[in-house]
Amino acid sequence: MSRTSDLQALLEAQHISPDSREMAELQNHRAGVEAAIRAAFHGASISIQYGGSKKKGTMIKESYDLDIIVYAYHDETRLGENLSDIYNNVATALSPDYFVHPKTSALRLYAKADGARGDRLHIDVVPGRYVDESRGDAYLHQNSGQKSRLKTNLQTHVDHIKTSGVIGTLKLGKLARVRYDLDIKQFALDLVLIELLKGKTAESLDQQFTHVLQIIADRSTPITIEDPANPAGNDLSGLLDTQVWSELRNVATTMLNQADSGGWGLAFGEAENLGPASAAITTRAAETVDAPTKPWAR
Amino acid sequence: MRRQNLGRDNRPRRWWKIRPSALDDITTALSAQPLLRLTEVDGKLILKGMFGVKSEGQTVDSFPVRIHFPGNYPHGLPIVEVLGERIPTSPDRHINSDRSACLYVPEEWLAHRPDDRFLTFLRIPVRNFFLGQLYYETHKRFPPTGERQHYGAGLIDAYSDILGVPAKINEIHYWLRILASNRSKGHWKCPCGSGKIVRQCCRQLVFDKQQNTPVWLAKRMKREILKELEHRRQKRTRRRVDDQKRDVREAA
Repeated sequence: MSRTSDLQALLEAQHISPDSREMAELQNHRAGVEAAIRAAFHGASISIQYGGSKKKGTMIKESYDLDIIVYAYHDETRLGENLSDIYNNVATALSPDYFVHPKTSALRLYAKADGARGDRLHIDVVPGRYVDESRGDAYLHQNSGQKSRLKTNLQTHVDHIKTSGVIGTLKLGKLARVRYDLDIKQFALDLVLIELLKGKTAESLDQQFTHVLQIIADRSTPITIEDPANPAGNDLSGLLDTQVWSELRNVATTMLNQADSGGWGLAFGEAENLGPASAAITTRAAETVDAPTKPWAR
Repeated sequence: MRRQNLGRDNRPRRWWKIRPSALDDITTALSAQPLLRLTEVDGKLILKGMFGVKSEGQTVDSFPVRIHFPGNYPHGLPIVEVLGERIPTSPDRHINSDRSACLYVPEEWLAHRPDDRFLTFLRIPVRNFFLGQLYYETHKRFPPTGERQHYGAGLIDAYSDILGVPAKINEIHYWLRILASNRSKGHWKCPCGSGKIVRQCCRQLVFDKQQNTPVWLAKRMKREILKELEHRRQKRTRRRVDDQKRDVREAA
């Protein structure tokens, strides 16, 4: 297998088909969230739509959080007078059915188990309000950071990813981020990869991914990234400081070394190509460990 | 009161500054796990990345993990947090609610580990744990090498095996009271339950167990057994209160 086909095989294994169990669960939850919000703010002018990786086409099996965007129209006040009210009122509307955990701008939903926090549902609800009647730009409430609100544009973000021509590499970056537990926001990583792959869209998956890893590994200082929806207004330097870049460099170097010695599968921590023998090897190994230890549950 | 080792900023000194050899030991072990990396987060060292499960010279699978080192490392044991959702949070899969892997009853590992090197920790309990999970994925049960029962029952079984005494909490507690004391007395009641004093009963047995069980380990086990006894006492009290409430309701 060529290096590009190795990467394609990795991506195929991460594909979530529209009729998969994961997608059915997410669609059920979206319907539940939409019903709860529409019932709480009956008759209000709201736009509820998918955002995040679902809309951008970068979902992978190992990280498939669904963003549900809930924007009030610019002159709608039934969700709240200001952004903070909208954020809190949407949280209140969801709290009878879900355990709601506030994040910076989003509300992360968990199942409710006897009133306490249960399983994570892979759903973030993002409340906000459109800036004007064109329903493009929107303001989001921010719980932390220097500003209490953030101006953004969902469609601009989606278009920026979808027209980048490097979605395959973005998915690989996302997979590396999950598997290596990289401490960088997915949004920032996507912007880094798109920036580094400018003019490289015609190259193969292997060439693209090697290129970005090589640049990250060689560069000692972070590159500059801009929010495509608000280049002048949103300062993203905090998302890509020297500490984050140093971690990226560290992982990029490891991945390049591993890929050189054993291919991309090794760099992504995939099992070696053992086929059906794999289960037999693990069974034999588990049954005959030299120094058995017994797992427990405290 | 235990004295804290404080740095210039009056905050606890970092263990890897006090014991650089423990850090060297970890970095040496990482050559066997190249997909793990050390990072400092909020003044704590964490190993992040993928743990490769190796067998017969091949990597048979890998699991994303974070390995946390307690502030008193290397005295305290590292904690393995399992990331991703491949292994569900469930006592049946030995994953605690905080996503930490319950690799063992800690005192059992402390009693039997061949050495305190970090590589040994990765090669034995961590590898065994993930091999067990791979086995479970294929066979829907853990390998014949076994697993401990959940919670207190598993603790009692493990302590019973370590001490070589029956798996009865009160008996284990009494043994630990003897083994955790720096000096035991011949006129103490014999732990075998005969009613005689140690001097006239299992003197040699007590002596042997004292030789085989370090006092620090016995103290640690005694602490855990006391917690378990307290937990059981609270459970009994709760049950009694519930019974009384039910009786009152039924009488009404």
